[in-house]
Amino acid sequence: MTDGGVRPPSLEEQALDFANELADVLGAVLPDAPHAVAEVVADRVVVRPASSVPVKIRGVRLATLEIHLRCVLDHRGEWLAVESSSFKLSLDADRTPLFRFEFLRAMNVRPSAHLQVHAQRGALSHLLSQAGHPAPYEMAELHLPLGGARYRPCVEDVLQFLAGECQVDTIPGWEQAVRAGRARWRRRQARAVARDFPEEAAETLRHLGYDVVAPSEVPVTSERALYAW
Amino acid sequence: MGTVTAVSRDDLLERRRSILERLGLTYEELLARAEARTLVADEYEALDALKDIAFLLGDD
Repeated sequence: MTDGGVRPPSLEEQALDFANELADVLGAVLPDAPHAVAEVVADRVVVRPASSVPVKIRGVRLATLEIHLRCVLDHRGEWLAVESSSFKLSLDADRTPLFRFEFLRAMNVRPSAHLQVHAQRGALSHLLSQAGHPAPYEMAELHLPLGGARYRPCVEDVLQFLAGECQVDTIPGWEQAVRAGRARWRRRQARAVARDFPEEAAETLRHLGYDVVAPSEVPVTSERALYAW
Repeated sequence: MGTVTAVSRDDLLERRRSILERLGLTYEELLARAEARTLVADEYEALDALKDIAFLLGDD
């Protein structure tokens, strides 16, 4: 079985590709970013920077970016898929998170892809306390939904957020690496969405002029693909 | 540049023991602090490292 006509490489090769992609984009965007490592046990892989990623303002390290990508082979046992991920920015002064972009595929009660902001806002606390929320003063207790498994932000989105919105120090030309990485991510996600919704994908392709013939056994779209948040 | 390393269960268990010894907590105590929103400084970083280990061990 293939993905986009490509036979899947070995688990170790895919793990190395993930680590290289992470190292390449970090190294192209943030000064003094460490290399990346992939640790493998059986069919499980953790990809992360070899050490915490320094985030600098005008040459002074003020914050730390942590990245964890936890991957398993997909249900066909062919392609590495992210089971959970975490992109966390912390201020070095108190080493407490400022925000966390997280994804937990198996999460049901809360949105699988979410943003937690470690901040306070009086008006929000008032609203939550009136509603009887158990932690009305902790904005980080809210999991802001980010589009589920397929439409969640990629690491390039978070890096561009740091560069463009937070105006941290960057390496000249960082935009090119972010664009390339984001395009790679979106092509992968597009293939995954087509697998989730084969009938809709086929219908769209026919509309574009492609000849698409359904297999004898049409795959059924899972409830998770339809309804998980 | 990226690298790939095959790690053993013994390596991971030793790494977990070392992290928890440094914190002076059990994994369950650290998770309880996270649940109670009372994590501080090193504990945030340690929790992510321990989640990586639990994932690789299949204990997640």
